[in-house]
Amino acid sequence: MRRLFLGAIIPASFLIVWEASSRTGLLTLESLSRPSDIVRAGYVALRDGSLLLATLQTCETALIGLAIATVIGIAAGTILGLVPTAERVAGPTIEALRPIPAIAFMPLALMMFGFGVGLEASVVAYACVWPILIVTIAAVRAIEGRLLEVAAVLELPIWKRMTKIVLPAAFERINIGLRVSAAISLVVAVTVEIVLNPRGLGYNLILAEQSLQIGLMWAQLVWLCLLGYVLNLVLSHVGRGPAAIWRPL
Amino acid sequence: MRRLFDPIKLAALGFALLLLGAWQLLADAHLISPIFFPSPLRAFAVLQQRVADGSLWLPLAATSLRMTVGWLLASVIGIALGAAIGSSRLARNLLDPTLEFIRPLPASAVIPVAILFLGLSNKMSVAVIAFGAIWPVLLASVHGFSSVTLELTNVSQVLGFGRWDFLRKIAFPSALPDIVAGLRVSLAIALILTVVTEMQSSLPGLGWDIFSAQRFYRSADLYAGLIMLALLGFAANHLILLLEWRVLRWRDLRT
Amino acid sequence: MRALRTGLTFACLLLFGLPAVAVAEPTKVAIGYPPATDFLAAYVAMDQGIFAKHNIDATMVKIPVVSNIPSAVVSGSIQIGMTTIPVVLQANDGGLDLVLVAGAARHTKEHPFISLLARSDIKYTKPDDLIGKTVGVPGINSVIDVMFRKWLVNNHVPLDKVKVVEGPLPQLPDMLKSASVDYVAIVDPLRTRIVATKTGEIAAEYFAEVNPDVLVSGWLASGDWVKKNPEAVKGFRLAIDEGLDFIRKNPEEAKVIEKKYIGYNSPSFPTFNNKARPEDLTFFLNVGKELHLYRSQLDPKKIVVP
Repeated sequence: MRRLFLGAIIPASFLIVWEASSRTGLLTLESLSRPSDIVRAGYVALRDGSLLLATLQTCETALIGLAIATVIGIAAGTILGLVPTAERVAGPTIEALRPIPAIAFMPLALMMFGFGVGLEASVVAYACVWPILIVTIAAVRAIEGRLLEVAAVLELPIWKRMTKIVLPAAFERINIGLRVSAAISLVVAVTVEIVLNPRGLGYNLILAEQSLQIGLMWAQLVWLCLLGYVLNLVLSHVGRGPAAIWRPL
Repeated sequence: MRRLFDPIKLAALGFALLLLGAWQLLADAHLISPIFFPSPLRAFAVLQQRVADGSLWLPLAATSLRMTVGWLLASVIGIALGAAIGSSRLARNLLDPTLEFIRPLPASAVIPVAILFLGLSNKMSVAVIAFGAIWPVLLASVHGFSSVTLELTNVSQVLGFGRWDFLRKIAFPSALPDIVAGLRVSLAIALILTVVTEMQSSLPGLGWDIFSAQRFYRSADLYAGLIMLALLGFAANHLILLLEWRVLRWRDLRT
Repeated sequence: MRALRTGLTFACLLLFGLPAVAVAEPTKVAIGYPPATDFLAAYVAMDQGIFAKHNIDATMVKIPVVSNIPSAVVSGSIQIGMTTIPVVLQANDGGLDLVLVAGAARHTKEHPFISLLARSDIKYTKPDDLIGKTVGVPGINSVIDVMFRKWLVNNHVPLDKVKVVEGPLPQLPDMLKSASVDYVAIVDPLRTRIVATKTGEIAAEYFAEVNPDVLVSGWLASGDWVKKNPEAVKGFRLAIDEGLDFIRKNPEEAKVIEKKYIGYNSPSFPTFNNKARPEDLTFFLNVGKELHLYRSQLDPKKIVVP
């Protein structure tokens, strides 16, 4: 209880100061709505379903992009982790590709997919693959040599080696990479929507701005923060559960 | 003994060239109009032109400077906040919820607000970069500072260290490996954010060059800019690795 | 009872279903537009089912970042998109095959909606006052910016002495107020709002000064699509002509439709005009030549669909 109270001090005082200064005329910037107006706009957007629909759209594409990145990242990461020479050969190229912002590929993705899920998911996938790839390589490399020896002695086929030995041992580390990528997926998805794709929370955000409905724009920003907060909370708990199942011999 | 022609390095170069070759083939196939997807030859030609007429250096310097300043700002605040949150439960209870709440904001959403308060200036760009780049170093610092082992804490008490001394002489060095790892990720994010802020606020730099190229349908210029970004990121990452190695050298001797 | 109902349903389907076979399949047309009043004729056409009447299965896609529209058309995401004249010229200069199928609004001396505004504490008297000052525009190389620079040239103000910056349209009023910029070149409704809130005053009707009657906005499509869908192009033009007619006869209802599609009401309607002619482009081509905007030789007759 005390923790809740302490945590609420900063946001609460911030809101009070904001509301007070815009009511007393200290703050007169048009692009800053009052907290009360923002709450009202947010309530309206929730009631008419637009906020929920946009959230579903954004989450859909973020998830698809994340899934693609996970598959590619884990597959490539496992190979590069198990074959150190391959990692040294591919390494510099990976380090050169990684810093390019995923949104720089938006014009290309637009030509390939047109507006819609494909455009957004592909950009999200590009942004999310790197943390997973890097963490998987590190995780696989850190697996105790003994485990791999056991697999060799038992003459397990490659895929069995992967699912029974490599992945469970590497899971916890990979999970951290997944959490990072999950946060990235949401941010990149919304960014693609703000800049280009006409669907989802980012699109609604910039629509509200351009239609001069600033209260609604702020409400959507707050909603976005809530979404990310909840996502992070969920992910930090999910990580703990399955790890117990995967813990190796 | 390092040989001059290390086969691995050659193989790495070969791999990169292979990918460039694949790019060239895809571009030549004209599956996508060259207005939007140029061949690497055209992109490198633009790059060569820019080096020749000197127009490359100013945007490169501007972007590098913004990225560095933003990253330094994020690092200082991140480490300070991380030290506070990692070592004080009160600080954690006060700050954590607010920080967790504003973390998910994408830079593109924050930029209009930043423009409001700071105008279309380098200040605005640096602020946004710092806002986005702070999280890896903050989280790493929190982890580092809160994982100071019991033994070290006991040593500190025995030596009669006050809070400030504890942080400076015991906690900080202990947290350093985590912090430096966080710094590296932060730098990568700082670069991306620098480009994004330049795109959305017409500040001169690599990001603005890329954005203008996109607007005027000059795909070769756009991809030339992307190649520059790749090289800049590559160089920055290696500089940090060097820093990491220097700073953590004393650690390796122990272990 | 049930048999009777089924029989009746069947009969109705036969009766009403048959004529539909005789007419051609309606063309699917996705129309991309930003929240602006210029395109009210199209909103009306959509709202009142006029597109459907002309055999067009239209969907309206709101696209807030107008610089995306040419790429969206090329990618096939939309078939017809909003444009301002310099944008369609720029796209062609970049190698995109985009043509003007219709106009939307003209800017006239009698009904200006784009002006230069100064912050209220700045006493503007003549164009030279802008030297050393910062001017905010909604987009570099937008029609607003291009005409502004032409105005500076016309008034012998050196271009390199005036700083032009791009800011997001909805934030320009606040940027003016907080002195990030000293002047703004801006369009309604923000233009009127800035004056109404006493943040600034109209310094010069620069747009009208450069050209007292000029086509500002219109609709573009890919040249390829236009060649393959002449019926749809004709249908589109007829539909927006009818929409315009509706606006003239029912201005109040038109205002309701405006609010529904773009979220606000402009203080007044611009001078709508659905006709686009090569001469409209020639003016901007000449301006572009003076300002060194275009790299290639563009033929207005090839860009405007006859």
